[in-house]
Amino acid sequence: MSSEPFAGLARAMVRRVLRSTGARVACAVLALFVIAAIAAPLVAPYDPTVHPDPVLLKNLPPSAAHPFGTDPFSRDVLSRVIFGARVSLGVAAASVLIAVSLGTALGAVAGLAGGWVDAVCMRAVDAVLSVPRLLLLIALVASTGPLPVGGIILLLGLTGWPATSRIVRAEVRALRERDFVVAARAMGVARHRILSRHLLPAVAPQVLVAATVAFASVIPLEAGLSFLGLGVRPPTPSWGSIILDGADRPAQLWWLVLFPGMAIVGVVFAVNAIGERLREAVDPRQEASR
Amino acid sequence: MRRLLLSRAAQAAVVIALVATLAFVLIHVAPGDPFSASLDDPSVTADIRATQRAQWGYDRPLPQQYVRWIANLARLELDALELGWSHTHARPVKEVLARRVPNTLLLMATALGLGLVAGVALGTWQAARQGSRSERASGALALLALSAPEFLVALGALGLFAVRWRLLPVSGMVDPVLHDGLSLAGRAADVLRHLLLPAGTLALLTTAAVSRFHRSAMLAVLPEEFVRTARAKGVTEVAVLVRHALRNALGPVITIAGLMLPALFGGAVFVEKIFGWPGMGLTMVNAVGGRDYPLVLASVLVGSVLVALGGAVAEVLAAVADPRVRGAA
Repeated sequence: MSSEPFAGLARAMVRRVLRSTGARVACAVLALFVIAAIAAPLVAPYDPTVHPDPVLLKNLPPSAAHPFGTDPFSRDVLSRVIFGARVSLGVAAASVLIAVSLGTALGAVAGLAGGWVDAVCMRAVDAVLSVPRLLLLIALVASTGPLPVGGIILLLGLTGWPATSRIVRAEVRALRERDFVVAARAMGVARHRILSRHLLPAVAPQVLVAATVAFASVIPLEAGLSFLGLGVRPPTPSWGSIILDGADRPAQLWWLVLFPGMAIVGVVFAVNAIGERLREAVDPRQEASR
Repeated sequence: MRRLLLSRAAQAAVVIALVATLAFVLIHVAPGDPFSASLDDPSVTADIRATQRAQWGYDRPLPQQYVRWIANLARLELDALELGWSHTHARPVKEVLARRVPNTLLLMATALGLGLVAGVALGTWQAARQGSRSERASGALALLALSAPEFLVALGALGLFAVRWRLLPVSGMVDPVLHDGLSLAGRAADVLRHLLLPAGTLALLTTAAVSRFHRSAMLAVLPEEFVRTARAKGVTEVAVLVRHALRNALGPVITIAGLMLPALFGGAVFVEKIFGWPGMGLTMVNAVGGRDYPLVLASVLVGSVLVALGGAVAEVLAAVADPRVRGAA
């Protein structure tokens, strides 16, 4: 009754991901962003929220003193992008944690219970998935008013679970009939123990893949909300809100769009690339079709 | 086929009912009601507001209002459906949306049409050239395009094509000065010029997504026996790809188009905002800025209903396109 085969699978997944050069580069890019986010006060050259000189230092193009230029409030864009990594990556990670936990729990319950519980849960999932998530978030933010960062995390987490729950539910339903689960049930192992010792470790790889997909979709979503002025509030820098500062003159203030934009695309592309290798590791049939 | 139609219609109805309920809850959670907005206007007295509330039924108990809200929706009595008053436009929400919805549909339909054709072509080509260097490069480019948020692509396109190179108009749907003086063909061309950048932005992302799905669908079909038979008969490779494999992969493409509608609508919100395209997305975002809650919620409701209906239609069309499903039902 050990989880040994799953530990083996985890090792195989890591090996498979690191085997491809593209994924190694992606991991390095992602690590770079995470380190920058954690060490932001050490690596950022300026304070991201102070306005040093709104007259002389505003809207400066990239130079040696300000490699990414300055914004309309004379703040250093490089420092804002570095501190923005904290906010954007932090919000994404926390909300994905909420969404994936909720999705796993609901999917496992639906898959194990079967019958009408399952039917109701899955209809609810279909319903939520067919509403544009952005519209739902706009409606929620419009009726709650401006939210602190914690509120944004909660909203993103509470609207992000359906995809995970669908995957976990399908996986649990398939595993339920497998010999090792049937045997455990026959031996009288309690339901919650079957779930925690046998089913959850077995669905963990799929959940990990779902988490990468959720992460890759929530980064642009948070950036988009902040870009619309509905997400992280100024002066806190998020990649979306930095772009908003340059959005009315994207050709003149291109550095306000390009650099935070590259950060968004870089992170999402890296996570997508890693996610793809993980998916191949979980489901080797995928690789055959490449 | 009839079962599919019924179950799909039922599912769409459930979605619409849920969204309508959510919209109702949010309308009443949001501070004030449609008539407190006129508080800003000193000439609107408390008496007038009370009369207006009574006229629109806002003085009744909440459960009664809720039943009426759902019932009007269920009977499709759109005239009776009370979406409220938009104070930023100073006219009923229904009138505002009625003028904006067609513009969004034009934008999305153009983008979806372009994206589907280009995505299917790209995916077919990738499947035919599987493993080649150009196929890998185009696949990586598609993933890169999918990793870029719509507003970033839109800002880039606006900055380069409209502002820096002045090839296309910056904003709006028609030329504000010249449009009314143009001939019919001239006016159509004017709208087309304004449509190119916003629809192109959305189409780029649609192409990337569709090509990825279509490539794997084609790769799944190509090893099938009927494809081998066609090749053995001496059918040319192009004809095999187009007539046999493509015909079979069409169902999944339509399904994907339906599944992409929610994301496409979300993308349209950004694209409309950035290019000033006068559709529902721009209306919604501006309404949030103006605290015009009835307009925000009605836009969300109408947008979700349109997406739900579009998804249902796509699923039925996919079944029609697939001879196996059609034969079985």
